[in-house]
Amino acid sequence: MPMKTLHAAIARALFASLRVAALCVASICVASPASAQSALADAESAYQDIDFERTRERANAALREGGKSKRQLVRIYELLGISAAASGDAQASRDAYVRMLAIDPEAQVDSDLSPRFREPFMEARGYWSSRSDQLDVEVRFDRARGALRVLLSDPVGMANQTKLMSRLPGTIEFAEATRPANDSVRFDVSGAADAGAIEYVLRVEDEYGNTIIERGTEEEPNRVGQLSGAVSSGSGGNNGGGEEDGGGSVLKSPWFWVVTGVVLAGAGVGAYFLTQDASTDLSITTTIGQ
Amino acid sequence: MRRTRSAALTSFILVLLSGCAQELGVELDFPNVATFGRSSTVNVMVIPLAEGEERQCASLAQEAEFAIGTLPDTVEETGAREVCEFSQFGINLKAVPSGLAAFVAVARDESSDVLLTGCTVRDLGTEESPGDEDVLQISLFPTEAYDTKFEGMTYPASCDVERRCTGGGATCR
Repeated sequence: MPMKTLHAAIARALFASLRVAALCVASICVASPASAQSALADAESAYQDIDFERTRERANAALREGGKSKRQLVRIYELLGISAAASGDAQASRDAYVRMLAIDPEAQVDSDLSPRFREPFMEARGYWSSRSDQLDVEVRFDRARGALRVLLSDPVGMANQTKLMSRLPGTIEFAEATRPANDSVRFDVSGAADAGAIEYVLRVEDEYGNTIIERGTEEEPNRVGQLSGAVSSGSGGNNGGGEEDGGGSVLKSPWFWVVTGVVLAGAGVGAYFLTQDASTDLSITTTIGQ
Repeated sequence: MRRTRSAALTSFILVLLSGCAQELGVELDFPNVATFGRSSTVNVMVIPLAEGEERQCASLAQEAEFAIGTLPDTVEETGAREVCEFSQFGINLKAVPSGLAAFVAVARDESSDVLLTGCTVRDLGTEESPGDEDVLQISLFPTEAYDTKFEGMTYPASCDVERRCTGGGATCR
């Protein structure tokens, strides 16, 4: 065998073995259920291959794996929406899009999709635009009870549990607590009754442990409450010092003296009433979640 | 000269009137529709505080959670009024004396369990006359009783304040 041919054969064999090794690694990665990315990557791959049945199956698997970020979850619901529409299951497609838009109201689908694929998405948008509520959370500082109150709005029932990390400003360690999701959940925070503010990181998860709402990060926690409650209302600053141009002519006017006298007398009497028995009439109404 | 006198008299009366009457809007801020809907009545009490007692508000809110009726030292109160009366018509509390005071609100359900309490401190006497946009807000917070009573229960999504107060019936309570 000539040397040149031998070198070529060795090179081919090496290349072939490398390819096999690469495929093995890839297949292990894709097949491993423990990898958080695997099922979603698999769903993406199936979508690229226009295999909608497999896209739907793998996207569902990715959803059930849990541990997904909001961004990943939005993509999962988008893939579920598209693949369900492709299978003729318009209701499932719409439901997936409703959930996608619950997590991210600004989310879009590919504008190149055919009307059959886009229609459930438009219906999902209509569903949300017709509602006054949305998937949302508000955190309030209940100083009287030394607690944070998490108020959840979850119109489509996606939330399963609420995880809260909290700490007093100036401290490093977060205290962590998890509670079942509810429209109002209380988290006691040690030392909160005497604190001006509380720092927190909040995560609301679905039944599989995917994040559907997040507020703050450990590096940049959100803060609720104020260190100083004393807000002085600004004075009007309208002293009326300079009357008009015209120098001494104003002083000569009888109007000036009459008005000045009346104002001074009125102010004196007014001050007397204010300090003696002034009272205020209250008009009490209600607001929701201001 | 007569015009001068009548103008002076008018000014004098206006100044007097402005020194006597003040009006202030108060907002009872419910955390969400569910807490509003589940409440039946609200009582707002005014309790005078001495200077330096501003921090009493937290303990007053807690005290209100377990008090059977009106809190001690209350000088003015609305009494237990239907929550929808507040939202639909507004409730007036006349002639609240000036000075530092705690404004304590207590919301109860039909069984008279205290569901929410809230407290805000304000000095009505020394602060400037309230403007149109100036309101006193009392943030209400759910009590232990609320948490226990409604744990794991979902408030109907179809209920809002209007439906609750215009014949939403039992489903919105």
